[in-house]
Amino acid sequence: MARFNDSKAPCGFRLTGVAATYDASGLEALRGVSLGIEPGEYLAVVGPNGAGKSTLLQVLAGLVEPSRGTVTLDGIALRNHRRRDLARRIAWLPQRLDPAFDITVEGLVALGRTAHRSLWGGDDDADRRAIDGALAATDTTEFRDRLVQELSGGERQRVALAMSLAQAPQVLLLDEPTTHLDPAHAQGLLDVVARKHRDEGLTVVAVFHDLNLAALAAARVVVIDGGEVVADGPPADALAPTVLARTFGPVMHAVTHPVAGVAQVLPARAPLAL
Amino acid sequence: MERAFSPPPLAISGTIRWPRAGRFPSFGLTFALACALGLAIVAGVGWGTVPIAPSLVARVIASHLGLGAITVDWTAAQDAIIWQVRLPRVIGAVLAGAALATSGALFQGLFRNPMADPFVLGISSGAAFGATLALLVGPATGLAAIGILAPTAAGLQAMVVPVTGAIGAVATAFGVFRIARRGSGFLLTDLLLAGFAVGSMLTAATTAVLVLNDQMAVRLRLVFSWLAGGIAVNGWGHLAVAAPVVLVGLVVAYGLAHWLDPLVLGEAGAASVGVPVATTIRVTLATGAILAASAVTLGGLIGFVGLLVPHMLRRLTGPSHRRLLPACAFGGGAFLVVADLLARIVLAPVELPVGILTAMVGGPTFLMILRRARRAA
Repeated sequence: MARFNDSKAPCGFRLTGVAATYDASGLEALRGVSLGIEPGEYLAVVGPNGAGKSTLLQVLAGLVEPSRGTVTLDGIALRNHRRRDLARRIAWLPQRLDPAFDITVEGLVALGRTAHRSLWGGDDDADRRAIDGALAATDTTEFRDRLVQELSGGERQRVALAMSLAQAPQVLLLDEPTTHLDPAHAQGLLDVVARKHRDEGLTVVAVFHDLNLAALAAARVVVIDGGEVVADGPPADALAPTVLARTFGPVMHAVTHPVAGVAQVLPARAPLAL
Repeated sequence: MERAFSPPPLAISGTIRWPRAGRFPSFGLTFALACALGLAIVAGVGWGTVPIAPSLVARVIASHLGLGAITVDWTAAQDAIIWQVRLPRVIGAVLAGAALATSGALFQGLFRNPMADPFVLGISSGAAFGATLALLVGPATGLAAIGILAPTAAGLQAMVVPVTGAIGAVATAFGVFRIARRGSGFLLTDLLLAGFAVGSMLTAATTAVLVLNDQMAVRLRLVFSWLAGGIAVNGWGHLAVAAPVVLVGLVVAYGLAHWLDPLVLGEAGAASVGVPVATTIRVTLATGAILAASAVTLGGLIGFVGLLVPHMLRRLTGPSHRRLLPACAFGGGAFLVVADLLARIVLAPVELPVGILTAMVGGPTFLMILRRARRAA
């Protein structure tokens, strides 16, 4: 786990013994997570339901403060960064973006510029360019005047990603970005993210429900179970049969993707086929 | 660094449908509303037992404001009626209406709920209770401050009622916020019931204070008429405290616009795009409450203005607070001047407290929004 480069690299995270509670109940969703995330890395986080994946993402976004341990961004404790500065560097996309009232696609994407605007000023050229660019990158320009509420799940998720991209972040935190999407839309969304990662060096930390998408998308996979990191490495290591058996139970069958050549998992058997 | 966010409950107010976003040009709308406000002021001043032609009203006001060279062809009595008696009252209505509509828009944005309004949330009752307590301490000063006695007190004394009113409103706003909050969201029912319960308690306490106090009991009818929502402004002196407070409140509200918009994403979503959520909540609650308290000092409990005006204007402005808040300031002012005018006309020569009129229009609108909100939920 000594992947973290201690020199002054931009936007690297280091978590040391981080514990965090999910809500007021006081139950710890994370129990002592230590992890380094390098700038420009594409990291997938997987694990069973309730393992603490979303909480980990919210800790990285500075939205949940650890009850124990420390999180640093560029060697400075996350809590010492100003909210506005964080928002200029880190974009967080929740599982489902559900605006509380009717808002147009363009209006929603423009919210991504909040941290770049002055308190009294309006949109400037940089804001408009970022909004147009984000709409173009996610192929949602044609929707710009439609209401977010009128879009399908797949379209809405692309628009949500557009809002995050309009933030012009260095780090993109995605919480199960493809869970509500059909395979074609999921592929399209991950293509957009991969392009940003490859072309602009965006650091991506994405929680995946689907182990196979995680292995296909990311060079490094972190497996979380019971609030702790139980495996960390390239997909082939992190999703090794022993790890899968320990984490998910004896329900998985490890294979290799016939085209991409990366580790994949299949259900171990058909229902009732003992 | 903001404090931690817990996940919102499943059924937050997020299911509520707001009026569809409009595409009315922002500047054009504000200009149109400002013109409407001007017309409303002229009509409001002109109407009365001695009717005065609109052109004369406009010329008298213009000459006092030093706009252009205007030959004085009116009597001193007309001048006094327009400038000393009627205009202060109308300007009081403008300030109260602007304050109430802006306060409503702020609370609606903060609670992500089109039904939030300083009256519905019990915040106006908190202001009335605070103001009434001040009446006990210094009855003469206090009654003057709410326009029942002619203003005699000067300086610090004149500020007691507005200050205790503001304290009552701010305390109530923070209290209702805490009670209604669940996780990092607000259930529609929690918010309305918390406002109802808190408001009822404070209204009962206000009544008790008034009935049990001998000095107040003598003037009960006047005090109740103020409480029922009657614009009671006797001369410019009454506006000396309220006017600057309302104007500063409107400017602060406009400054908050930028941080209120992202709250449509929820508190965690707003924080993730750079909104200092805890600060935004505190400043919004305080500003909305102080604006509502100023309106209470000027005109007692005028209900539903904060609900009606943003509800109507949001159809034209869309959800952007940059567009909505200025529209509410002008539109709310014009709305209350017209409502106050109608309250004087309907049962003339008897004056109906304007709060009764706004409640008669606002109540059904409130139920209509509630019905729509429930259907969408």
